[in-house]
Amino acid sequence: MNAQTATQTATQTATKPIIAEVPPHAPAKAATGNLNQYKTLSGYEGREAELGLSMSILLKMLGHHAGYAHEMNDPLVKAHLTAIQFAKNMGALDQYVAMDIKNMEPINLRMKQIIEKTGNPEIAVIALFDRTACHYALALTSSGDGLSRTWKDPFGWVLTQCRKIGQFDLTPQEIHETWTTPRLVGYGNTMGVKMQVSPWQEDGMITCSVEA
Amino acid sequence: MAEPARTLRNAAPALPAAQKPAGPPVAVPGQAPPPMPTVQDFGLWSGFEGREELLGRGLVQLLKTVIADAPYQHHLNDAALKAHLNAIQFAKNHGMLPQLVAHDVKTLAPVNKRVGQLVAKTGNPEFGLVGLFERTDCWYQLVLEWTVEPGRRSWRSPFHTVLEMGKRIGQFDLTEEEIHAEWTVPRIQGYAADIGIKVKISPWQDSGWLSCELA
Repeated sequence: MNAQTATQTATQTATKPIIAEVPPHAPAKAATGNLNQYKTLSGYEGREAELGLSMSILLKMLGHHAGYAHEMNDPLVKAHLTAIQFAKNMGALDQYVAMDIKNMEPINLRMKQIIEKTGNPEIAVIALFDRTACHYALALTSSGDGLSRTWKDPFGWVLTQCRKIGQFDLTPQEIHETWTTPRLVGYGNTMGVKMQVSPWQEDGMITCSVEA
Repeated sequence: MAEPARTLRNAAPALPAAQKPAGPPVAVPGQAPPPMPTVQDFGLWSGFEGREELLGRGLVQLLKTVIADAPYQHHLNDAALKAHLNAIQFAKNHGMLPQLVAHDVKTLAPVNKRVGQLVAKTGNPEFGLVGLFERTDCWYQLVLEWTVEPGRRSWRSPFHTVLEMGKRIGQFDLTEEEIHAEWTVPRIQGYAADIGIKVKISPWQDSGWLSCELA
């Protein structure tokens, strides 16, 4: 590659967003062969070690009561809280949210293509909530169907415990308004759909819907 | 959703010693008979009684994550890795990585200083390593491959796959070596200082296997 080509490529890369390619999924059980549909399969064949390791961690997590009862999402909640508190302290929370939206652009642009191809805006909520470990590992109560999903704020429980020892000064409402909502709206913008996020409620229940 | 562990709801309260059932304990020749169990101890319990919903939700999350193999096999730590990578990349982009590390060390200081009290009381620095590694879900849910030896912990850097996948689509420009040198090592050193132990952490290894040992 000569210098001119390299410069052109770099310029193109800088201006044209990358779109994540998603390889085709493994065929479903019934489609993998006539015999396989008669087998009783768990879906975890070949992943026994992974499953066992994960189960061990789950049991360890739920057996941990030092300070407070730990839930499965405990380290993820703390990782987010530490980063959000840091960005807030540095006066850079808006930039952190913007960087997060930009970081998710390759995947969300890919979802935009699928939404445009199918004409089905529900793809947006499936992509954001049902398919994304970053959501369902964080919001353990996530549920819903159609064009909306509902979950309970995952931060309140850990925040209450950690504020007692001075780790954070954030509130669940503040996180909802300055981190959760702008990120979801931003992801929606990238996907070419309008996301509506419910305002903060005292019971911590959050609903996100996509406009049809 | 979170709630503290409850008492076993189906179990009868423990009886005073005088009312304990007087059934014959299993005798082993040459040994004193084992102590009589309480009614509650005599039952078999999973430890999750009263927390079935919590267990179920954890299991669902686990099964959904481990079954996800597109575009790569997801592990249980996937979301935590991405959360950390996002924060580290953000701090790097803004020239604030040392401040993020300092913030993280300060955030954990109350917990680490409490572990330090245990180390000081027992005089055993191994409690410090246990506090840093085995007891801390932020560690054992992030780092899935690791080993324990007296005075030493070894682990495989967990970032490789997620970092490579993210780099392909321009999400990150970090390297594992950079993360180790500028995030992992200073954080562990900071935690250790608060605990009151001295540790030596290996430099980056191409195998991804790293270690922390008492100095």
